[in-house]
Amino acid sequence: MNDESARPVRLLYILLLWLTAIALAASIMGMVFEDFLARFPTAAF
Amino acid sequence: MSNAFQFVMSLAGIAYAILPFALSVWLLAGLWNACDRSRYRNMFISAVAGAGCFCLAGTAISAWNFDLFIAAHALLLGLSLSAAIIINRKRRLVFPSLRPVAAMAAVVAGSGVVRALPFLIGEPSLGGGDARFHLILVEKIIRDRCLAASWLPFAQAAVSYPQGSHVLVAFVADVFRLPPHWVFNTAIAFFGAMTTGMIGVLAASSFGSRTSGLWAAASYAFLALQGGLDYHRWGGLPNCLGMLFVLLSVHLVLFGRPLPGARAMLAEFAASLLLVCALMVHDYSWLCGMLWFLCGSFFSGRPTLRRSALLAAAAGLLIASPVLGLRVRQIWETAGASDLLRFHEPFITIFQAVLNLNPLLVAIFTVALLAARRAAWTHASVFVLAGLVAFAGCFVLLEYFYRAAALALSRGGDCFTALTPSRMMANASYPICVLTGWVSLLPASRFARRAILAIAALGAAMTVAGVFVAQRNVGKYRGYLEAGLWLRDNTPENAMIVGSFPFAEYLSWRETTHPPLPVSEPRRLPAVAWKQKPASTEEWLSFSQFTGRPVYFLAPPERDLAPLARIYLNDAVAVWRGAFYDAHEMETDPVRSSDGAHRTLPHPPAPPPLPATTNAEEPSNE
Repeated sequence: MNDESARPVRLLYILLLWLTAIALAASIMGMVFEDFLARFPTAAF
Repeated sequence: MSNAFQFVMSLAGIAYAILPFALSVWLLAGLWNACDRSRYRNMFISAVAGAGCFCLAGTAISAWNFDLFIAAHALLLGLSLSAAIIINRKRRLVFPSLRPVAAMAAVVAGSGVVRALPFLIGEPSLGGGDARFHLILVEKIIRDRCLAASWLPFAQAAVSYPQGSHVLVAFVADVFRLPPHWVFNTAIAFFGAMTTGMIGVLAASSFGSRTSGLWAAASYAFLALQGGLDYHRWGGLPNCLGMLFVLLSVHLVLFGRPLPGARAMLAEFAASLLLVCALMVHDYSWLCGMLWFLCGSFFSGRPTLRRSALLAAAAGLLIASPVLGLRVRQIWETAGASDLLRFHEPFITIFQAVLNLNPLLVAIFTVALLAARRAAWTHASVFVLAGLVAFAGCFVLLEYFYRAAALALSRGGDCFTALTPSRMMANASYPICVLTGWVSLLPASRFARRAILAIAALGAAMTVAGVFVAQRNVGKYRGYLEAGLWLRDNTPENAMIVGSFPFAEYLSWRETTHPPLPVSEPRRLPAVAWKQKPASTEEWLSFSQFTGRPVYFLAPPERDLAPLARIYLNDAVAVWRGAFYDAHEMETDPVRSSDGAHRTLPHPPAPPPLPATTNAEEPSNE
């Protein structure tokens, strides 16, 4: 990796990983409380 | 007319619509010496930019007069053709060998074919879910001969949705006398194919490899579901067009050649204009474009690129500021009545998001990203990765943090999100597909390369087959189609239809109780929502008596609404006519209510906040 692009790419990788971890944690919580979330209506469009 | 004929005519119509603008862009780029090295790439970029200019000019002129735009379009076609002939009269028209672009052309054509097959085979399709309201806007433009200002006769609410793509569909449908739904569906396939080409061009330039461009284009053409093959299912033409313009805008910022003198900023200016074009067709795509530019410039290691991206974003903001100001004011005024900041979308887990995007695409992308972590990233590919992080970040913010905050602030009483995070996820598929171009550059043995290619080809075949099976019935409602046309021909123009079915409003052009308004529109305004509250047959008869408007009831075929008179029946829906009484008859005529008991109709209640009566009114755009 060239020096100029190495730093931002590493940072972007970390951000992507961090976002994936948050999404994973939130998804697991959502699945645990699936029955609770199902009480709320959903809309079209 | 056969499906193939309608499709070919729609394609010809779209090409005719874009031609004068594409030709003008092509000539201007030649005059300013701003052409790309490849002639075919130059023509392709001119065509995409031409579509953008059409939407921009179409919105601007049709806001005043649609017929004037049709005339101006014909004039521009004549002028641009004459200019092209005069400029090139002493040159021999030479087309370079097609061989270098043959593979990409095949992928682009294949992309269009797989997107068109579901509505080409079988009975005609009215379109995906959102086409229900898009086609209303298209039909309103054709009827009113200018942009739609309100949702009348279906809802007493102003239109805040951008209408650039609707002008395009209305133009083709009007000039070529084609059904708007055919043009709409064809446009999704056509611009899906154009997006495939644009992704290929962006990836090829970003990685400096034609094979990378092919990988990226093929992954978008045959693997990307949400934001790709899925557009026909939900009828997302404005999103498709908006993101196409955003992609070209990104390409211009990344690869626009620096020109001398007064043309130094030409690429940035063109990129900013394309952002404005995106705003004219879809607010959300414009927002994604701005996010991409801001995040890309933040992470870019090259100062010139950072400056170009910021300049293009700022110029786009400045040029669009009058429109944007009006739009923001309109949205702000109706924010409480729209679902923009209070959208009850189903909860999307990360697993669902991967399924929606296509697990194979995500797997290929992940493998490519893992293998490329130590590779030399170009500035362009960093810019694209930054765009993906921006979209993924916004998705997480809106889908999880905003939802959690709504849940906490309402003390567990409500759970909603804002700005439709699923669209953000769909738009993430664009940078994902561009970055799959890494696959061709990874150090791997010949066997490994062939294995990856075989898996991708098999996955693509399965995906395309699955999409065809899933979409082959989208918008194909023979019963509803017949009922809608029957209502149009056999009911008075001011009739109120109690109930609705898909495309009832577009087909019948009669007011229904459940008009399909998009999230951005004030669909919770009392003047719109009053019709949707449960009401008995008697209440609607009172409404009829009070307003003098005939009322018709829609019901499933097996349901009996006697003593009302059933006046239409097919295997999908039945239409019942509400008895219409004058004041004298009301006092004397007994009517049997839904519970079977005979009783006199009650006097009508105090009038609800009624919508203005329908088509008999003055044109809604004045």
